[in-house]
Amino acid sequence: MAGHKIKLQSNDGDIFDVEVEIAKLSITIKTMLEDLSMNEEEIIPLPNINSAIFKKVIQWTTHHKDDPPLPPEDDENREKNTNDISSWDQEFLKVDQGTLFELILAANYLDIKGLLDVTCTSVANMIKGKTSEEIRQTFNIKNDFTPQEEEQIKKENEWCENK
Amino acid sequence: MSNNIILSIEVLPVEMLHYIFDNLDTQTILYSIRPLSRLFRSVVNTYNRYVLDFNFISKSSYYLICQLIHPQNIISLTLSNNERISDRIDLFILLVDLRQFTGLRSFTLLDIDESRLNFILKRINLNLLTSFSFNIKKYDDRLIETAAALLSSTIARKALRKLEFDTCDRIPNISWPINYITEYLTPNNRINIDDLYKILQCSPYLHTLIMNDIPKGVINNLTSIYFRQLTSLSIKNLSVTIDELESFLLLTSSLVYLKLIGVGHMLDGKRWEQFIEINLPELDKFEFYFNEWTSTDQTRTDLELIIASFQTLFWIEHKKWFVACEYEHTTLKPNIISLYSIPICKSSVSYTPTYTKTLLSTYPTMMKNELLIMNNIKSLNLTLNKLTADDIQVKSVTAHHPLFRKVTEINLEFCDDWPLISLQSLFVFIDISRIVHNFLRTSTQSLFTGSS
Repeated sequence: MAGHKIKLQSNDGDIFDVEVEIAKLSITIKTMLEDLSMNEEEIIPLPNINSAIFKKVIQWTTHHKDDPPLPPEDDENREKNTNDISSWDQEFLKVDQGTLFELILAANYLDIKGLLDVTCTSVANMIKGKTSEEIRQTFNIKNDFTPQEEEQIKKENEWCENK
Repeated sequence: MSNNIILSIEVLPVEMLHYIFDNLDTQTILYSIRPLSRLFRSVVNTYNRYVLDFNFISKSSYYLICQLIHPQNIISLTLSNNERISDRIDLFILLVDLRQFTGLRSFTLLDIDESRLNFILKRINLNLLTSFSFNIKKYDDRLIETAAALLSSTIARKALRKLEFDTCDRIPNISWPINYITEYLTPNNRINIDDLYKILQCSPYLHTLIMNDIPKGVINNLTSIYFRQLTSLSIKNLSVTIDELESFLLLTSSLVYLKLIGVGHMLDGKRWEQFIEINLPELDKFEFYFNEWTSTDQTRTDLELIIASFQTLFWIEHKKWFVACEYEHTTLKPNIISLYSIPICKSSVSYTPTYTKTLLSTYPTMMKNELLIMNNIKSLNLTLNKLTADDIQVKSVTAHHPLFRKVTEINLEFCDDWPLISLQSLFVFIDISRIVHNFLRTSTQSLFTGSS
C-alpha cells in the first residue's frame, strides 16, 4: 500500500492527500479506514483539527513513519524524569505555547502516542525545576486562591518543612 | 482548536494534564503544580498514577506526601531503609493505612527487616501487582515459615510479571506455583543451580533472567537440563572462569540477548566466536564489559593482539558487534584491561582521563561517536585532580555536548591537586541540569550528598 494516498479534511476545509501508511500512524484514522471500510476516494473529515496543526502533524508522522513501534503502555516502562527529546523533535517543537497545546490535543484526538509523548514531555520540561510563581509566569496562569486558601497551602507546606 | 484563539495550558483536558504529570516527579506535582490555582489543585487531587520512590525523599517531604496523596492513587512504591534513613519503612507504616493501597502495580522494598516485610505483605493489597522487588536486610529465623507463606502467596499473584529478590536462603521454603507466569526474574544473590532449576521448571513463560553471577553448584550434573524458555540473560557481577561460564551457557541455547559484566579471563574473541556459533545460534545481541587483572604492564601491542581476535568476519560483518579495549597506565597494581562492547552496557563508570590510557577499538569511527558510546551511562565517578583538570581544558575547546549526556548521578572525589577550577567546567562531561543525585567527597572522607 506504500504510495497510496487518502484525503483528509481539516475543520477549516483544507483537504490533504496523505500516504496511507503515514496516516495510519494515527490509530483514529487507521480504525476509520479498517473498521468503517472507508475507501480511498472518500474524504475523511477531521472536525477537531485545523489545517495549520494538521500540517505539523503530517510533518511529524512523515519524519517518524519508520520508527519502531512503541512498547505497550504499562506502569513499568513509564519512566519518570526522562526529558529525552530527539534533536529533530526539539526543532519541531520550537513553536508557541498555543501551537504546542493544540498539538497535544491533536495527538490525543488522532491517537498518535509518539506525538502525544513528545509534546507532553516538552511541556513537562518547561515545568521542571521551576517554582509555582515561575510556572504561573511561564504559562500565564492566574492565581485564583482566596487569601484563606493561600494561607492554608502555605501552612501545609510549612507544617511539613518544620517536621 | 479554533484558528483564532490562542490556547492556554488551562484548557487542556484533565487526562492530558495527567499525561504531562507522568513526566514529573511527585515533589514537583505537589510543591509546584498543586499551589498554582484552584484548577490545578483539583487536577492534582485526581491524579492517580503517582510513582513514589522514598529512597531519596527528605523526611519533611515524606510527611507532606503521606498527607496529600491517597494511597489508592499510587501505582508504584519504593520503600527503603538504608544507611542514611534506617527507620523510613517503620515511619511509613505509621503514617499510612496499608490496606488503602489498592492500585499498586510496582512495589519495591529495599533493606527491609523480615518482620516488617511480613507485616506489610499481610496487609497490603497486591491484586494488581505486576512487579515485585525486595531485599531483606535483617533475617529472623523464627519467621521463616510465615515469610515463606507470604512470599509464596505474593508471587502467585496472577498479574505478576517481574520478580526481583535476594532472599536465596528463603527460596527452598517458597512454593513456586505450577505454570508460574512471571516473565522477568532477578535473583540478586548468587542462587543455587538446584533452586534455579526448581523455579524454571515451574516457569514456562520466564524469558528474561537477570543474575548477579552464574548459579552455585555443579552444573555438570545437570546435563539433561536445559533452560530453553530463556531468551534473555544478564549477569551483572560475573566472577567465574570462562569454563564455568560456558558450562552454564550450554543450558541456555535459545538466548537472543546476552549481557555479561564482570571480572575474569574473558578476552579471547576467537573462543567466544566458536562458542557462540556452536552453542548460541540465535544470539542477536551480545553486550559485555570485562575487566581482566594483570600484574604485568601492557603495551599497545598486547592490546592490539586482544582486539585482533574481535576483528574477524564473524564479529565485524556477520554480527556487527564492535568492541573496545582500554588500559590505564598507572603505577597502581594490579593493572586492569577493560574490554567492552559498544555502546558501553554498564550504567555506572569511572572516568579515566584521555592521556592516561590506551584505547583501541574495532569500531571504525569510534572517537566521532563517543556520545553514542556513552548513552547507557547513568552514574559517573569522577576524580577531580590535575590530570582531569588538564583533560577538561582540552575537551572544553571542542566539546559541543557533554560526553556522558544521560548521567543523572555523579560522584565527585576532590584530590589535593585539583586546581579549583569552576565546577561549571564539568559541562564537558555531564549535563548539570539532569543531575538528580550528587555525592561529594575529598580523597580522605565523605563530605555530603544531595538530591534535586
